[in-house]
Amino acid sequence: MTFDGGHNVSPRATPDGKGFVFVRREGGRFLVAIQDYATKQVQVLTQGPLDESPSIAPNSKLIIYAAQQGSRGILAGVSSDGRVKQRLVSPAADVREPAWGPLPR
Amino acid sequence: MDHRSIPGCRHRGLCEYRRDRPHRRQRRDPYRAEHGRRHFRRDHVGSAGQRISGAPGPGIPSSALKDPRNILSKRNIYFDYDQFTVKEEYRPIVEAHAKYLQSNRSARAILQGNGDERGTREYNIALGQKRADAVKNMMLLLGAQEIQIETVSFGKEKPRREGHDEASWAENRRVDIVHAGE
Repeated sequence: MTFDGGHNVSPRATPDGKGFVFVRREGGRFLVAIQDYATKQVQVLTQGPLDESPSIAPNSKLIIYAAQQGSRGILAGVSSDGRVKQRLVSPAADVREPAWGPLPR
Repeated sequence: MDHRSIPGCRHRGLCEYRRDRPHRRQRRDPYRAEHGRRHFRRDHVGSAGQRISGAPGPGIPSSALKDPRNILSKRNIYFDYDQFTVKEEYRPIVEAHAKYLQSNRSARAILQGNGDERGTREYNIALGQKRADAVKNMMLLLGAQEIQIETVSFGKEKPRREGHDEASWAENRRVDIVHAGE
């Protein structure tokens, strides 16, 4: 499904069935990207340099992922259109492999 | 010489032993076929005490692993940045450990792959695994057996040096060879 770039890993299908998010390596930076099934277009959502473990919300609107700040992992989020970005820094935490739970009904 | 003095002869009075030709058990002896001499020792040790290739026998002593003058005391295989090819300069170390495993079939080793802090955790886990697998494959080609070698990757989780410079990174890009019981 991906034919460019030397390192595309950790794919997660979006719950709305329109595409998937994954981690791409570009110029030594690890970035979260999203690809649309229909258009095959890839949109890079983050700036890196060490973003990994993307997990997409059940409503397909927000992606959380592990980023790195200094030597610690932090929690970060980005909207699936890339417009909204948020870094959630905790002084004590070392975030790894964050994951969404199901939304309450 | 009487047929009863030949080890393994069970033919007693019916034996076909003749003085002018070897006993048929001797003819089957692989050592005799290879060296042209009679040979009945089960451990297949040559006259000079050296092991004959492929024959079972005592292996390299485990004390060699701790002898600083022995190449087996060297346990680190270092890699270039973002690479998992074993460099030629480390081939003698890998070869020595492979030969040790080959000569001690009950010996076991764990290959621990590591990476430097550059790259994500997941990426370095994969890279460390590729490095450990590269060393393992070389050892298998050099005579070790699959069952003797286990691989594990620590990625960048267990750096030997905590620095953020090239010297520290170079020290952390490595595979450690750990023998069972150490």
